[in-house]
Amino acid sequence: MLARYVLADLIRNPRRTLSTMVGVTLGVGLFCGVLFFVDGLSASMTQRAVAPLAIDMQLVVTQPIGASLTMTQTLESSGRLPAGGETSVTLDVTNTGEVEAHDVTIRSVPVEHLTVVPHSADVDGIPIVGIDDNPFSHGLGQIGFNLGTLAPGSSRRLTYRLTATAEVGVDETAVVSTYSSRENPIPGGANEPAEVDLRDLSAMIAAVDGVAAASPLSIADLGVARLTGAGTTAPGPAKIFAFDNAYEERDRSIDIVEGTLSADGAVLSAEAARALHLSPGDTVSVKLPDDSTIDLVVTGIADLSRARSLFSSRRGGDLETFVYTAHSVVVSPGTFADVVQPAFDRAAAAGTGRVKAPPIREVDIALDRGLLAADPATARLETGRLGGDVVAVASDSDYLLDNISNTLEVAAGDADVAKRLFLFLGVPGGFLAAMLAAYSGTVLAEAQRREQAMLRVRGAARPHLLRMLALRTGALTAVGSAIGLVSGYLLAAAILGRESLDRANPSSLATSAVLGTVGGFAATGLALYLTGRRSIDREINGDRARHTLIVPVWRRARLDLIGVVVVAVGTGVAVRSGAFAGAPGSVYFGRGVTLNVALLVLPLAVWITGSLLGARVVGALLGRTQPRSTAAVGRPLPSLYRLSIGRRPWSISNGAFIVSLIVALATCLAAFTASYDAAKVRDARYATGADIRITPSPTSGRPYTVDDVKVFQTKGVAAATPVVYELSNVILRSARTSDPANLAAVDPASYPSVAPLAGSRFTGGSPEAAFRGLRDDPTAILVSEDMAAFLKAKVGDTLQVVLARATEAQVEVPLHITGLFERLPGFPDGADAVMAISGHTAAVPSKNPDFFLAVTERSDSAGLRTAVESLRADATGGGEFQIDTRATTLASDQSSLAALNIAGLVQLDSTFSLAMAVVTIAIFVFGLLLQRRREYITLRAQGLEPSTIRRLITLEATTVAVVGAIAGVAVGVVMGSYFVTVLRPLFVLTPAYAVPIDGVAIAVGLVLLATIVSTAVASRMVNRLEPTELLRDE
Amino acid sequence: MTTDSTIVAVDLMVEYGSSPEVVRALDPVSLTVDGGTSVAVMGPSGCGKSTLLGLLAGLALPSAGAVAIGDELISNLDERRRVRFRRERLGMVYQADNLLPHLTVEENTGLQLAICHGETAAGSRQQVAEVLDRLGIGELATRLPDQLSGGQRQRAAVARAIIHRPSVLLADEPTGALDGRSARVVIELLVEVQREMGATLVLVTHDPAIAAHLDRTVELRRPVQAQESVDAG
Repeated sequence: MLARYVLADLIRNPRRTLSTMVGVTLGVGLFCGVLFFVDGLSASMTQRAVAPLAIDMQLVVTQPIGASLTMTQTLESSGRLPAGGETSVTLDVTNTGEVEAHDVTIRSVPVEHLTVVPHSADVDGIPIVGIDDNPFSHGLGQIGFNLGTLAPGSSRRLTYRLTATAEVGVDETAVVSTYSSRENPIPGGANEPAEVDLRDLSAMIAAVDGVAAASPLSIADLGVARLTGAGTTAPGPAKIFAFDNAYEERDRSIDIVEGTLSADGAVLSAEAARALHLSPGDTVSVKLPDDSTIDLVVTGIADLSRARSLFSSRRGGDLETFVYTAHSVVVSPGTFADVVQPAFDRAAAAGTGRVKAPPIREVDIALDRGLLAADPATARLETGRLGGDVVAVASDSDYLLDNISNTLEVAAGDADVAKRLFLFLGVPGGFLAAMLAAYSGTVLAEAQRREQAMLRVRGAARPHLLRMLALRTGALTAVGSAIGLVSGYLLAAAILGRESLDRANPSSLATSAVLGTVGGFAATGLALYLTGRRSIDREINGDRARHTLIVPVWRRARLDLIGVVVVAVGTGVAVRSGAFAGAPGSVYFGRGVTLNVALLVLPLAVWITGSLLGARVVGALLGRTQPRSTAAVGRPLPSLYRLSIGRRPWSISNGAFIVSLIVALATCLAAFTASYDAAKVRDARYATGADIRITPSPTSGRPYTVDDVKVFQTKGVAAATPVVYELSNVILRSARTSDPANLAAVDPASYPSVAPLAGSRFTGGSPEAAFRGLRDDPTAILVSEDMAAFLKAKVGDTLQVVLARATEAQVEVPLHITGLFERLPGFPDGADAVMAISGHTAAVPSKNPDFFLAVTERSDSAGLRTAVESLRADATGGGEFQIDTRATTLASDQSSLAALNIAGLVQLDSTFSLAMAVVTIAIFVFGLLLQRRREYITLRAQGLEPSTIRRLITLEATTVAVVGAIAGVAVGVVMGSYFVTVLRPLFVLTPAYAVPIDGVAIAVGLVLLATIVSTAVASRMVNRLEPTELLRDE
Repeated sequence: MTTDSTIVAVDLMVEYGSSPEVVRALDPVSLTVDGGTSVAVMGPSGCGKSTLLGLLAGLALPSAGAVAIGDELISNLDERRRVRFRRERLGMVYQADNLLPHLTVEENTGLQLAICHGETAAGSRQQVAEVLDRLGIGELATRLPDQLSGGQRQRAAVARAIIHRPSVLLADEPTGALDGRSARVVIELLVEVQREMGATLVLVTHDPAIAAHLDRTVELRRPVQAQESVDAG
């Protein structure tokens, strides 16, 4: 019966039903939308994270230089061996390499119930004496037997007898035997195959399920001046690589611009070819570490300047560094195995000192990324398993660099942080939806006051009314939730793209749907129910409709002041404990961004507290204007307005609170997005060194000099500056010590105006002053604080700087330190020192900058596009160059949450927030109309012009909108600043906080527009009210 | 002969809705109230008493028939003129006081003057004070309606209705929510000031004792078609 009544009531009052339901719909829509968004985003994070990865996995083969040992183990018998029974073991050790193996040590340990017969062991028939127990594992240290030196090609046979202490099964696993040597201290197992050829190993790994390709890569440092051709020797260090065609085809960063790889020939780097004046068909001589030389026909020229897979550092802890060597040669894997590796082996064995580092031999593995789970955490498990499969194929002594798992580990961590971050970003929307539901519930309760009074007259008791309220709330929230669920999914799909959600894990989507619906249902339903229940109790308690005059609960409970204390204490504790600092992430170290997500409670507290404070101020100010009673009322409109807001300040104040919440959220989101985007761009610009970095291509026929700066000052480019920079290109020597360093030579006049120095810190002065000093003093050098500390040098000290290091043109110049800096833009590896480019070019023969930096005339994306297009079209100057921009740097950012689609989430949040703003204002205006319709009708009956009544409604609604918007903007600015502060660890540079006027104006404008439209519609409704009935009703 | 405040209603009828679900709120009724006299309108619930009052006030328009007050044919005036008519010539008292809850008694009363004259005329303070004193609530002038008893509120409502000295007073069960003594005081005051002002008073009531204070009584019957319609429906 009650259910039928409630249903009929909901159907017969569609406007009331819809206006109440819209709050629920928006709330659930937002909840679900955020959760679906996170699902969709997680689903794309795997692909996003691994996209920039050059090599998924590297299996590094650790076969040492100088030895190639094998050992076979043979047991005399197999099967059951009774207690007391004996059998013999034979171990044959062979040096298959070309050099001696020293301190060859054999360990051999039988399993339980088998022991070595004392004094039964011999080597090549000569008994081993002096050891009473197992000579192959004796003493406390279980030491093996040292055979001494094993010449190339020679073998030794070791035999011993075993006896059983109890009946035991004997097979080849009954004894575990290993060998090691001074050259290869990592034990190798008996009966393991001899060294597997890198190509064979690659083929075996390629056959592993889930591996798309596996190709061998060998890398070796040849030393200085090792490439010769046409009577010229290329200066500086040289490297030799070996990879096959499949490797080259897969790695797009290797660009063979002329010719091809071949089995017997060599491909030269463009710089080496230019230095040696060689072309395909010519012959290059490569001097190997044992001083032997191989002559190879040049079959191709390659641009290797971007080949991360070849030049990324292989040193642990330094894996992110791109260590480029301009003079390089590429040979086939066969040539490397047959000629280069033996030469290194010989050099190592001879101890000529030329081999500082052994060749690196690895199998670079590409996984079938399409098979990986969309969610990075699941994908991480999959790649971990794949890594295990790969390792199982390899020798025990080889090790795996699992880059993709590291990346996914970070991505999974980032995804986790993102989920919590996004949920926090979604919380304000959910809270707002609950507030909206409560607000519309208040209006609904007001509308039902008379009906409930009638029901009570007819005998309905409080439990009946409460049951009806529960039924009504349940029906409204159920339908609202269903619509909200669908709208949340559709909006998330619209922002993220349908395919992102299609990729998402169905169970994750289902969980989100349930969580979002239940969460939204509970929050909004509870808000709706509680307000309705309060209204029923108030009605039953006989409280006349005076609630508009009553000071609201939050004000009486001083929630705003409590909130201020919470925010102040929370902020104080966070600042003192350094909780805002966080830690940046690194893919290569497998470390995600460390964000203190709990701190996100602070901006939420600021949001609610600020809005309540704003409402308190509004209420107090209006209340202070409380007009004194007078019979001389004055003109009706201003008087009515003044008396209404002065005597009912909390009505305005409550409305302003809701508007403030909405405008604050919109302002915060706009400010957060703008700051976030600007910070990402600033970071990218800082990493690039300027808006644009122009790097002359090694294949370019035209060398660029310092004076070519003007070539790059094309349309849209404000200024350009040349930079000389390489890793470890100088030696810095102080009075105390010396160290290789990365020196940048820049033009001190133009560099400060091109590079974003704002993020740099200079000790004892501004960046401009430091570069002025560099310009005015040709013997000046700026040194990084870290390097100065290492060199134990200070400002004013003189450093000896070895320029053109390790080349024939090497020269030492004395420079004195004029300033220290913390870091400089454009040198991700970290510049250790900066000098004037004029002094550099005067001291060394090379006059060619390594790259040019350029700043655009306009700082926006369109300005950047214009500049890049004009550079491509007009600045060739006969040469070729590569262009990197802050945008391309941003696109390749994989190492932090900065790559996340936070803008998408903010868009989703903003859409719902603005929708709620419109609905809130509409509900406020119609609520006002509902609460005060009798007043308006009385005024009509008294002869007040309808237009005056309309203006009165408009004035009050506008007051709410304006004061709410003003408070909201102020609160939103503070709230946004907290959000940005909490997310600071995502960025290299401290994000500058920006409040976009246009974004805020849109939110405020929308609120005001909604006010105008709502009041216009509401005013029309006043004219349509039935005065006779309303005036008579009590 | 009609004077300035004579009310003439001819064949007034009010129907709501459209065919076939027409609900009649007021059967055709004709009524003349001479200027300066008072009439009590009685009748069963639903007979259209309040509807009739709404028509006389120009708050609603009849489905048929016409209303004239003095020389003005109210039912033919546009909204703007009807508003002016109410502002200048009409005073209304309801069962509920309908005082603006955030205005004090003197402000509620003074507001009517302000509405009537565009702004508070000079001497309005004294005028309001006199009326309130006259109605025995002078000392309550600065109180809000919620700080008054039911009878006091209704007297404040009467003050608001008469402050601008209207030529027509319409009262819809003004004592319906009051106890007997308060009701008698209020009605006596209302009739007294009506006679002092020479205004025409139409008062809707269920109570014959209240009706007895007025010059004459008319009785409305429940609309027949409306009843049939309800029954049919």
